[in-house]
Amino acid sequence: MAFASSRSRPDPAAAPDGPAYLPSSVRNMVKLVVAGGLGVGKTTLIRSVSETRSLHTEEVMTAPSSRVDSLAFTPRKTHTTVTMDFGRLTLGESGETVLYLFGTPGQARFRQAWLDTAYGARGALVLMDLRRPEVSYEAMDLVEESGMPYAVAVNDFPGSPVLDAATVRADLDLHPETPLLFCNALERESSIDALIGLVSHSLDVYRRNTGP
Amino acid sequence: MSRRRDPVRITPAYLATGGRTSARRALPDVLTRLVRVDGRAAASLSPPQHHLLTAVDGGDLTLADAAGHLRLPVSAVRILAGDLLDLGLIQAVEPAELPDVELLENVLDGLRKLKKPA
Ligand SMILES: Nc1nc2c(ncn2[C@@H]2O[C@H](COP(=O)(O)OP(=O)(O)OP(=O)(O)O)[C@@H](O)[C@H]2O)c(=O)[nH]1
Ligand SMILES: [Mg+2]
Repeated sequence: MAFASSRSRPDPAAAPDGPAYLPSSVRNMVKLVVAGGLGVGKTTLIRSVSETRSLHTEEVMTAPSSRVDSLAFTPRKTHTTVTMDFGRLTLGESGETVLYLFGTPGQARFRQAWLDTAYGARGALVLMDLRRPEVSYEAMDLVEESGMPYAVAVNDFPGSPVLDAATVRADLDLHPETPLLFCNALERESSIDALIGLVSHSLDVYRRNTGP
Repeated sequence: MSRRRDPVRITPAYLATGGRTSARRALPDVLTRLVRVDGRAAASLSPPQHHLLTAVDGGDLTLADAAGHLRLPVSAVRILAGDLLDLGLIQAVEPAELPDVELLENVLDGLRKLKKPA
């Protein structure tokens, strides 16, 4: 640990593997959550749009485990960690605003970890693989329960059933105001379009709630 | 994208916080910005506390980025940051200065400009 005892301020650029320091220009950080079941493209979308990508973990308790401690004969609670990834994107010329995207599965059994990560988020993009839409249902439920504005983005996977928007909306039981977007998480432009769709919707919701 | 090089992880999360697991109400948002208070000498800190302080010595860090760097759960770093906060060694700054609507207008505007570079 080369910098362990240094009190000086090293140039962040000089330490590419060091901490992801915030540039001094940053005034506003905005969090959006990218949610959805296993393998729906969360990491891919975050990677497509972000300048940097990092990992963080959350500690979760996979509460009282069925395993019984053989010595004490007491049920043990098992601590485990879930890994989530997040990315960062600087917006505007002045570099004042930074968008953070947090990828999180949104599984009911990791509810507290989800809430901790999502705290303060201004919106959620729920990714959907139409070949197996059910894997994202728990995430949708958690997002709805949290009350944050959200949009659903159907990822363009090979072999996906070709369904019109009305059918998908009905299948997912979407509220009429919830945007239904179609995107290819492998492509930056398309991923940015999905984020634009989400943020437009969030803005509408926040405007209405802070109305005159 | 290459895999991030391992690890500066020092102790398991549980040990890092001395067994404390309760969440800090003061630091609910993982985008809370940790800022070093200049000129404050560090008293006797535990190794994990010291490690976090050293990281923040180098510049401002969000809780999430600090957790990523230290390879500790955010829940653990939240507690460590709370300790440093109590000791007056760091400050915790809210993620955003602007009200929600202006904030989101800026984000929307910024995203649209990304699509159409001037
Ligand atoms: N064709 C196509 N493939 C995609 C798209 N999004 C993701 N994929 C592929 O789907 C696979 C899974 O994507 P990930 O981004 O790892 O999914 P994830 O949601 O992060 O998965 P977990 O973190 O394991 O839950 C990868 O092989 C991606 O390349 C998409 O929009 N179109
Ligand atoms: Mg992933």
